[in-house]
Amino acid sequence: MNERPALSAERAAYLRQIRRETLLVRGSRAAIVLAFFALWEIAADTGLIDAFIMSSPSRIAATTARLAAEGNLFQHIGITCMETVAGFLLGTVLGTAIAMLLWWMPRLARIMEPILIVLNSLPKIALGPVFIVWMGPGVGAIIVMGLAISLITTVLEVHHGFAYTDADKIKLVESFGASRAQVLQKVVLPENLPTIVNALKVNVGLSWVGVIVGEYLVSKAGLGYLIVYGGQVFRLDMVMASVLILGVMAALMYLCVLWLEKRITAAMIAA
Amino acid sequence: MNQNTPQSGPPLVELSHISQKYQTPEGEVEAIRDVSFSVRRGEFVSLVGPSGCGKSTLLSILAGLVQPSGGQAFIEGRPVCRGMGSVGYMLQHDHLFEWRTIEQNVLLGLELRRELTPETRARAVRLLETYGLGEFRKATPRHLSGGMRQRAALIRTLAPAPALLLLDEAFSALDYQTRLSVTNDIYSILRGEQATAILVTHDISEAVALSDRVVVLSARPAVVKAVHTIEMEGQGPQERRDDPRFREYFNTIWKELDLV
Repeated sequence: MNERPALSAERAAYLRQIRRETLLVRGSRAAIVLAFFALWEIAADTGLIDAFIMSSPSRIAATTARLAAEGNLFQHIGITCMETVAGFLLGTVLGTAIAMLLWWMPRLARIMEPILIVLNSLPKIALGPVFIVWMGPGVGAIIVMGLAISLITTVLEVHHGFAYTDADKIKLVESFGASRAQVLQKVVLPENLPTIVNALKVNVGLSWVGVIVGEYLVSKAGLGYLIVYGGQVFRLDMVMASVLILGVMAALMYLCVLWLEKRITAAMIAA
Repeated sequence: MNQNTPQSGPPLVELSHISQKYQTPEGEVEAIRDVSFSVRRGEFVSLVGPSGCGKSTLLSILAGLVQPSGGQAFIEGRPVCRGMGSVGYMLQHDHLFEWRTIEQNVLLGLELRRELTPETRARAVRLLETYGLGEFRKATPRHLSGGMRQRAALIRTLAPAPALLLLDEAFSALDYQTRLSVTNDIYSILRGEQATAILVTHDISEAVALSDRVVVLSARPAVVKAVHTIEMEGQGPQERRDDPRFREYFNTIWKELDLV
């Protein structure tokens, strides 16, 4: 593994081809995005689309710069991000905890199964008014919304993983005299870590939806608030700028979770 | 290898009139009917029988994982109960945990039983070194071949020094070539550690190649049909397979199974 033999001509050609392919894919990807923004700008400039309604990249840039200069853009971004992170972390942690409880008490799981499935198919956003009355119109209600939207699906997903843990692996540790807590700690949890991380990844997306809807309903700050406010005062540049920022933030957060996933996997192997 | 022949004295394992019935919504299933046999210290006994005859259930009863509906099992004179910790169980798949190194996998039993001390750890590491896995201590299971993984699984089972080893179709998931070499490996490890073992298998040649005695069970409900003492002591599996008596044992047992 340590020594590097000289590359054969075929191998060098193969590696060159792979590099070319990667370059082509990445280049085309960037070109599509750039072309989209360029066409948007041109269409707005030439009056092909109504820049007042559809905005344009330059107007979005100017609006973003103005919002940043006014000083509270980063505060809006920060609040929304905080609410989202709180939503998906709570959703994942609470969901996993409830799944553990259901694994521990199979009878409870049997009793709860249809109830959870009905709850899962209920559009949680419909409960928005209840959360607002319960938590008061503010950050609390928004976080609960982000949590509610991801909680039940996490419980169902993670419990399914727990319940279908390889029975022979459990038998193996039980033959060593493992207690139920040890079965959970040494087999069920580590075996299902990929399921939990996967739930976390799904929850990031869900939580954004919950938080933005929550902000639509009650907030005084955040990107969802900017979108609603922009719409109300017909500043559609502000709406578009916020949507664009939202997209970038969601992508960044997803990348963070991917990075975290890699770290967890690596740590699990190293530990 | 003659010094490792089974010792006389009281049996290490005693199964006394074991019977097992399952209740299912469709009805009652009688899996085992009045099975009795004993195993001496240092002895290697195989259980052969048609699939689904309750062989594995007998092992689960000995491991204390299943309570028999009738009869009683004893290990070292004590009635078997859950978590008594005197058996090591080896299953068809090695079930090494991918997130643990080979050494951590091997220490699993000691860890679960809270018996992990510098001495027990040293013993486990010595087993790894003796049986050719010393340099893979820090490797993860995926870096080992099928045969090495099964060897690691056996060392994991041996690390807490169990009085009795239960091998449940422990070789059947391996391809034929690996299987022959793993059988040889395991045989010499078990003899080297003077372990007492019960192997459940559907492979008659494996049973004859490894065992001091072979217990033939009938189809469900399982009863003991015959017990054969394999008089090829001191011969390894390879030599036994070449011995003319091997075929005789094989054919006798084959016929007994066929009658069912």
